[in-house]
Amino acid sequence: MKLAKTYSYLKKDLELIEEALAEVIQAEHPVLREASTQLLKAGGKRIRPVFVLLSGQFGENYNIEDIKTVAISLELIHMATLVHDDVIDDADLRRGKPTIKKRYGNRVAMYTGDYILARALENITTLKKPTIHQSLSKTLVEVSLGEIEQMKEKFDWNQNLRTYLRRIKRKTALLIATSCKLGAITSGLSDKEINYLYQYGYNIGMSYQIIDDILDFTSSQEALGKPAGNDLIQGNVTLPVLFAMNNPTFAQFVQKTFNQSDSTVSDQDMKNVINMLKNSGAIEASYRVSDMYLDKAMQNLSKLPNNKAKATLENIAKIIGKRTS
Amino acid sequence: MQEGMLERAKVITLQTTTNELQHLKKMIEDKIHHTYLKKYIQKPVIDENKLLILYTILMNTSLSSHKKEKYILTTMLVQIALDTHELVPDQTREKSEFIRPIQGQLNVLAGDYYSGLYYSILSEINDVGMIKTLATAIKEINERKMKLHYVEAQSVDDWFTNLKLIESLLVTEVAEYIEQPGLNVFAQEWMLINRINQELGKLETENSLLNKLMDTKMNHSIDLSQSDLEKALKMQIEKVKDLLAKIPESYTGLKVYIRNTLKSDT
Repeated sequence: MKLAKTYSYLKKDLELIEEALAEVIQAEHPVLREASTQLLKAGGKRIRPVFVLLSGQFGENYNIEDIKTVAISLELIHMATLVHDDVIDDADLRRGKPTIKKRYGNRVAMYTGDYILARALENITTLKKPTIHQSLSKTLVEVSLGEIEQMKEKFDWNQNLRTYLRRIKRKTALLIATSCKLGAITSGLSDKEINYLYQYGYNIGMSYQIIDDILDFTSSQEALGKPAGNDLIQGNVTLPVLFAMNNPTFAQFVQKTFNQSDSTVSDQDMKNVINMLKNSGAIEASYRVSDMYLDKAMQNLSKLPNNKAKATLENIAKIIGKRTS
Repeated sequence: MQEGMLERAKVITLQTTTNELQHLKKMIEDKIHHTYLKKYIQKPVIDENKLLILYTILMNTSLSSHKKEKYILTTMLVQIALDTHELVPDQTREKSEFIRPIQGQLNVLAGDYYSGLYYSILSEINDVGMIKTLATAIKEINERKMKLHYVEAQSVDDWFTNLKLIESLLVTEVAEYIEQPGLNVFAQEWMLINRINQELGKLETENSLLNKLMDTKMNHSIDLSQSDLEKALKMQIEKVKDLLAKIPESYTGLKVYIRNTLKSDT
């Protein structure tokens, strides 16, 4: 089953969110408006709004207007991060389409990211619950720190599993966990329930990122919208690489390939790295770690009352574990 | 004798203001300290002129000293975040370049980090109104920056207005929020002087907006030379002096500080 199909009954609410997103980014300046709209139209799974919607449905005070506000801001924050990430990575393509950086240059990409983030914060300030802002702002700081850490740890072949897990927690899991938490807070759930949903989001986020890191090696350029092994080219030492590094031949080859003074990696070398990694058992080992997080996510869910939202969150966990793109 | 006492009082006021600004600068520097960022990116410049205006505006309110400090800190964090993003080079690098300049990459992340800090500090004191005020100012500033980037001014005045707003919106929006807009006109004109000075210093560098403006000449009637700019700067200084004279005497610190700065500039 496809991810979108499992929450197809949220279509109406998601359409409302999509419309509101389009409205929020209507900048006065035509290029700013065009760049933001282009980013929005590039699509994406809208996974954060989905988690906000579903978590909100556990509460008695489900109010689509408030839930929508939270969902929009979280998606905008995610979008702003993507625009700036493309500047950092000097990326020309995202989801197979030219990035804002490629189309308009770094300066416009920076302004667009800053503009979108500002809109996200303006939007969420219509909600006054202090815990919403405390939680979201803390996450934003952590996400930024995570990105800085990621930079620090690039091409560091001696980093350990703990370093990697802390990095993906900040990079991905926290924003998903916060999506669940804010949906829950907005709908007036108890602290206990808020925490279960937060933990669910955290564990799902960890699994989601690990699978992303696996797919970077196992999926095609067509499906990824970027070359296979791109994370490694960028210097990001992900879980499959960490496991594969236990194999001395692979470790030696990778270090030799990526420490060349001429700073380029040939396509053939990259193909060899990917093949060696696939044959090292690293992919299977990475899936096992992902499964562990998915199990934990299921345990968190089991403590919540039975309803349609819970069944959907269970399905999402299952689908994420098996996703191929 | 009376004149001597007056001069002495001015020196003391100037010293007090300078000390206060140094204290605030230290507070901001402590907040943005990050060992790894410090190693690779240039130390963020804290705009003392904006700090002075903010400090003056807030000191004339009945807000608690804790709140005043938080407002100064967060507004300056936003300014630093925006300024840090301006350091990201615009030109596209060669794709073959494998190890990319870490400085530019970290400037992107540092700016985002400082933005996150502003939101976090204000969330801790539960000041949603101030979060919104600063976010709205950031939004407006980026709209204006786009106009400058694409050199869309219809006239020199239009171009200066844009620059003025980019420089002053944060401070003037905060002043509106705390219902102290009395210094806003002065703040705008004063900040424009500082920006023109900065831009004149950047002439011939690749980041020079003035170069861009002079090179573009555009389809419309803008034709600006360096001497025109210097003339505009002198006129702007006179305008600020006039405005400064009209500011009530209760703003002694600001008046003495700015007179002193203008004296050393001219």
